[in-house]
Amino acid sequence: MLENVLDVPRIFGDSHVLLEDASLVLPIGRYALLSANPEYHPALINILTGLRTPRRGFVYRTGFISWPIGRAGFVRGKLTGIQMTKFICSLYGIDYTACLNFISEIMTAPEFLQKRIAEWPSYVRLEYTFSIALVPAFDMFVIDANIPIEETRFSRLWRSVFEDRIVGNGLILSTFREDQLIDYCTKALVHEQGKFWIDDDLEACIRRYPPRQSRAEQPSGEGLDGADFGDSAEADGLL
Amino acid sequence: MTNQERIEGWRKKRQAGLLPTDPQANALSAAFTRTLALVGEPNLDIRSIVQIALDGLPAFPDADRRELYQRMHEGTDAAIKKRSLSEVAADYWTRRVKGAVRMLEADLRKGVDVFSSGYLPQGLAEFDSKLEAGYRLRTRQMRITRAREERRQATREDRAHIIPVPADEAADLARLRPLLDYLRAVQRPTHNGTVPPFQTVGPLFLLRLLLIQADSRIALIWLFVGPLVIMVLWSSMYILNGMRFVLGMDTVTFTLTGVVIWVMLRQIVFRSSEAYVGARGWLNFEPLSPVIMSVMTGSVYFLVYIFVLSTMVGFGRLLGLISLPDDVLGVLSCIAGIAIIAVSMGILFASIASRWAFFMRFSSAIERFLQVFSGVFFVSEQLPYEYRKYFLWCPLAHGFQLLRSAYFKAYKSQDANLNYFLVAITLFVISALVADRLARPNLQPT
Repeated sequence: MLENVLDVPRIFGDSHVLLEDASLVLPIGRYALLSANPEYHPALINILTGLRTPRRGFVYRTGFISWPIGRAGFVRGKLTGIQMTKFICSLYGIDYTACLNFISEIMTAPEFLQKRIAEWPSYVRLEYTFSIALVPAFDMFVIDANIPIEETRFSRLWRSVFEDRIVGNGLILSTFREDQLIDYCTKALVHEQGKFWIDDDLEACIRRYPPRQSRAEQPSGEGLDGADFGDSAEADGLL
Repeated sequence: MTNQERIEGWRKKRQAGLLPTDPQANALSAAFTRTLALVGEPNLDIRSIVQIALDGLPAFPDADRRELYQRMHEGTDAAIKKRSLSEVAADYWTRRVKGAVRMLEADLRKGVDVFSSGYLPQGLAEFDSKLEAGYRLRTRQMRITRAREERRQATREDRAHIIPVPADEAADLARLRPLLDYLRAVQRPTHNGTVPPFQTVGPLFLLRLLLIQADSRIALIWLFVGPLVIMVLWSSMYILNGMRFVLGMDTVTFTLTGVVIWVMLRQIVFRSSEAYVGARGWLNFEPLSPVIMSVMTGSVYFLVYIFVLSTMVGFGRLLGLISLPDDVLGVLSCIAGIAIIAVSMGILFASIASRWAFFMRFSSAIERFLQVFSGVFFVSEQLPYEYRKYFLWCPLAHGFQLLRSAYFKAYKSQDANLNYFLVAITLFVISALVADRLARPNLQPT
């Protein structure tokens, strides 16, 4: 819940008034984060999830909110995957052995867990980022990336488990893929002119605030890194 | 004769009751029945459709072929209905039959001998393969659309959408699901959705040690060797000058207490400021904040250097070089006070650097400047009285002198002021928290 929030962070070298006397009560639901400036979504998600303090006002959390899933900020550096898993488990009070079993089972190449994260290929980092996020029993999932939809074992297993996890829980999804927004969300969480509001007409909101052109739709940008999740049509498992 | 004239003639004959004759009726019936049977059959060769028309054609004069074609189309419609073909499949079969008939009729009008052996309308195979490709594409799109609609319906109804998986993956999934249920069941409950700060202490302590060790295999060992080298150098200077004691304090222990604690201070200042601004990836975890990261980093280095000091005092004592502390609790309290100032300085530096990154270039100069005034090399009582005030403004000088007062029985500082030191610690902490509050809105997790 936001209460009279003023947020003026420095983004891309300048100060921007993202929120101005903004208040919002966000019940459990599946929300697509939409705005005229999708590049500000990470900063907005940081406020919504309580990861960053606004200049003024209050942010209250009443449920167990996930970290922004898909961000690989913490999945890098000198630690090994096993050390990182141990840290996350101890931080959130999770059974380490069972968690490591789960991660090893779902990942394509679990042998990398014994190596330093800095030495991982990008696809291993992505798989780890997404799979570790399934472990804590979050009440609200926040995804700041494209949901993995390529036709691979990891993607199918991840989506299957995610489908189980999300039932009865909430979701805030920020992605450039319109189809994923419509697939996974029922409402729009719209940010405009320093305020948030919830709109039930998701498709109309997407038309009004189209997400940026997705990587898959950019001919020159395809396959730039491991974040290329493939064709969403394949996600349906029918091809 | 134009096409329109043929149609008109055929209609007139039909209205006059001239059609059909028995052979024609038989041919029409056969065309309908055979089309009905073939349409919708998988892998059907289009030649079979052409053959239906060819078999019926001899019974019809030129203008009456339309009746035959019409029956074939009726047979197609009936087959579509009987087999309950989808809209896409119905369109495909209708186009297929109509296309075959149209190409046959075109050849008839061109005077091609359609009854010759092996006859097939020219371009029929290409036409059929294009039609089939289009059909497959539309079928794929239709299935995708249907699956997507099912997916969206599941979202609307808040139920799990079933993702089709191969059999081996289904077995994997069957193992993963109970594992996650177990993980969920045994997870430590949160406090209103947040992890209490005290529960972050253990994990962060372990993390910082792991990060130190991850720098190098000798990183933890170097924590000991670094201060030892500096201590030996500084002690040597006193010993070479013939000084065995400084105001009743033996020089080796005197330098040890100065060097180790100063190295601790500078490590805490720089490492905690680095933890504040440089580890934004960790800030994606809600329980972690820049201040917590800095404080935990400082705490780790505080404990590490307490251990280093204890070890060096212990070994030094065994060698007969180092004297033991007089008031252990007093020493630890002073070191803790210095560490709190160091963490506060780290947060202050980092808060400023979050807006002006170049500031960190000044930080080492500030640290060196403070080192001169902090009683690391000497205590204020060694200085002429008139110069002491130029050193005693520095809270760290009070801290170090109080530390040595607690450590050495023979030395009790006349200049150090405990109240000044405590007020300074409080002001440093408040300044650090205010700086953090101002800087925090701009620290974006990455």
